[in-house]
Amino acid sequence: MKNSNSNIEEKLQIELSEIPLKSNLGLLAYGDIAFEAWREIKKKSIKANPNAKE
Amino acid sequence: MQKNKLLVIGWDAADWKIIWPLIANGQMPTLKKMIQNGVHGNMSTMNPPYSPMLWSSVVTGKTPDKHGVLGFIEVMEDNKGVRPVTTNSRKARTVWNILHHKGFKSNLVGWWPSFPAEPINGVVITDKFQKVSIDPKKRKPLEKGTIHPESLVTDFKDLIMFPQEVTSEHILPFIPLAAKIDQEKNNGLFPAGKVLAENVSIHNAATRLLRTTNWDFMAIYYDLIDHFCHSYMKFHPPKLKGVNQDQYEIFKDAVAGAYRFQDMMLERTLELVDDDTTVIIMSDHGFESGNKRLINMPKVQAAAAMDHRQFGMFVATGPNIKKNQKVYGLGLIDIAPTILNHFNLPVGRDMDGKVALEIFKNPNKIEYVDSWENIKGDFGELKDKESLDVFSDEETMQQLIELGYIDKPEGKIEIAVHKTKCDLKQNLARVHLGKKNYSKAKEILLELIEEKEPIDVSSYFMDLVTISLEEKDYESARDYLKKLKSVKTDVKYALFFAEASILHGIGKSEKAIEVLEKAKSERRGNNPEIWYKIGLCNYSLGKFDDAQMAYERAVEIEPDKAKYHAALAENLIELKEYEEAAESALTSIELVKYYSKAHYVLGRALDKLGDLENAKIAYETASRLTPKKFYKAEQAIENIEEKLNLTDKNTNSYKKDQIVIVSGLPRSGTSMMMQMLYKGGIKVLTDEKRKADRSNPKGYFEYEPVMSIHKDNSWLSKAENKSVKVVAPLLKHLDSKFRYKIIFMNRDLNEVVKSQQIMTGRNPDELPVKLLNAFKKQLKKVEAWKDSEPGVELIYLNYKDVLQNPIDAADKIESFIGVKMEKNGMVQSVDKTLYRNKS
Repeated sequence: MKNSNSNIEEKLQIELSEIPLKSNLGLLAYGDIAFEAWREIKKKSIKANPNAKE
Repeated sequence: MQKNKLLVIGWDAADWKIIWPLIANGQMPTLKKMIQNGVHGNMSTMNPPYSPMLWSSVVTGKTPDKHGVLGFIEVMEDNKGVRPVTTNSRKARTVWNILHHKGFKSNLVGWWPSFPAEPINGVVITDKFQKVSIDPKKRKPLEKGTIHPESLVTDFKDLIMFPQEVTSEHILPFIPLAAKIDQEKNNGLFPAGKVLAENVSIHNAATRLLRTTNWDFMAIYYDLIDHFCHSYMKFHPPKLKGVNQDQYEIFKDAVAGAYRFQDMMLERTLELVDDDTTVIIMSDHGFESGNKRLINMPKVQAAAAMDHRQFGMFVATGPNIKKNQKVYGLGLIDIAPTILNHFNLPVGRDMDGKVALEIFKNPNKIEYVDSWENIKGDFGELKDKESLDVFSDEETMQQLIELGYIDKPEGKIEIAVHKTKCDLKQNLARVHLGKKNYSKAKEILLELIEEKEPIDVSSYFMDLVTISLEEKDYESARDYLKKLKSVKTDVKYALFFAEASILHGIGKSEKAIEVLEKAKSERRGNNPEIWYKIGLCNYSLGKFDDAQMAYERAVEIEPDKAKYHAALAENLIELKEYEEAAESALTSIELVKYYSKAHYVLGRALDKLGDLENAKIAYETASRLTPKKFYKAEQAIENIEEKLNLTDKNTNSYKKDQIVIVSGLPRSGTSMMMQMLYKGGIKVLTDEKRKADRSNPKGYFEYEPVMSIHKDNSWLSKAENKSVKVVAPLLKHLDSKFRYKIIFMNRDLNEVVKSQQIMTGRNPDELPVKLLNAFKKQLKKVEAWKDSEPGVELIYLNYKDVLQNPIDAADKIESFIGVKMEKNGMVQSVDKTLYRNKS
């Protein structure tokens, strides 16, 4: 049941470290793994720049 | 890895009317692939279409009167407050309870209602999991009962997305012009962010379970489409009149966006199941997307649900599911029996639904138990009803208020509790109404109308009007309508429907049409129900061409309404367009498989086309589908069996307990015919109250209760195996449950009128044209009525012919009635000297 034409799969080719800070719908649709990875990236971003807004 | 797994995905409010154009534009590729690889069709909803009731019917296979979930909110056990509906309201076992009992493992995510979680074999992420406060300061840890088993709380709580985490990148695909919104003045973006976050939380939990657990049955519920539709459907193209152009431009893509995102989530979900898994996607109702969309909600209970449409969607794929086929007539209550059958488990005889056998390549044999409710053992149920805090679910309450499903509980809490109790009682009454259990519905409503302010009793009166109309009790309908008009209410009802239905019911169809035409012109002719009712009135007036035009217009505006197609089919029979009639009846059946009227009309059309075998099947289906006895269908079956057995004969056999009716226009020889029957040995039902006179020297043979047959026809059982006189205009009030042999006396209409002029002391040489035309119409109506009544056999005898050749007439009568008669007596009773008013 794999769908090769998906934006989501393209996103998955990206390294987790390349997940954009603002995320996107493709990532949200991918579910738990992408969501947790995005949270990690947000945390790291806040650590690196505590005064920046999310 | 488990074999034979079944995944049910609920998409609240998903509707084919939005889906098909998106598929055509390549915007829902995953669902398209499922449709190609499986079966798809309409999913018929139930009334009232309130989602927690409906999703509870999906998993119990029972109507809400049996499963107990009767609305969006419930009253706490101690009457201390109200709260969003919980598992505590449900009193019937679900498929996951049954699967638990049989050793299967189930996962649930977000099912409505599923909080507090039941301790089943598997994982339950309840409908409370994703509901978090918009204000980070008010956030609390997950409440006990949100997740089962509790040990998973630590892992799953981090999968909740908070509304503040929603970014512009998440919102822009739904609302590309979001930047134009001044958020200080317009909170139009708020629902998108909140609903999106909640559905992502559900999806996160679902994907986690799909990846990390073994299961046999899994159910995931998303409300993304429903909630987006409630907030943004009024902006969906085509633009509705009354919608602000700027707002339209900003929000017009939101609904389509929700469907597209749902398809993206589906793609990921399907990646996480193997090819042996059966997958069902379904909605509980559709959502109005055309002219019937409401811009401003009326102030009635659960007003938002007025946007819900009769048909939702259903798609299924899997190793035992047929490929690329459309299936028909599925209902929400069929899902639980179908799930049980998939797992080779017996279906409860007390379930209202049926196994949807037609979706399977090789269906399992259906086994039954009387009721799963009576079986003892572990069903993974809550031991004690949990005591839940009324204020603990503020977030859900707030959302239900924002969506328009419930009113904000104002003032004293005891008033909110009492109002909720009334709402739930009314919902129960409406469930009974939907099941045609009118006496139970009425009992509840009659209690409710006694309520005092601040309870608005107007809707209870409206429901009583509806029931009275269904029961054809037009006096009561009129009475309740009058009371409704006199009560204090802020609700504006479209009372013209009730007014027209009452007029139609009491035979004033022309007046009813006037009322409907006025309403039609006020609504620019876009309401299909008005056209349908105009069709009904014209049909009963015998104006079949006008009826045809009206029904066709109703179908054009709303092609998904089964009753419109069935009415069209019935009318086409009168127009002698039998093939088209059969087609329309089949369309009606495609929409609602268990619609007995449509099967019956299909039978009539096929009967007319000479396809007796299939007509018989259609009549038998109609008869089987009606909970009460469907006399007309049963009589039609008898007629067909007779036709199949007596193809070479042209006789009318005696029908058990038949009633012989002598009819005709007044002064057409009906008393003479009664005299003939009497002398021929047929018992006569008469009270002899009307004595013989100059006009009828041998007596009238009348029976007084006949004159009030439109109010009370219960005396008809006294006429079994007897003859009784019923004048032509009253024939339509005969009870369909009996078999009738009608001898209809014809006489030159000019003679009839002349004879009546004399009898009433008027000038016989003056011809009242109006009366003559009315008689002609009446005769046409009798012809159409006779054709639609399978319990009626009718012969026409001409008055003059009987006088001139009574022997021939006696032969015909004996053969028609089907019993041996004293023909000499019959012939001798004919007195030619009474033939006086010749034209």
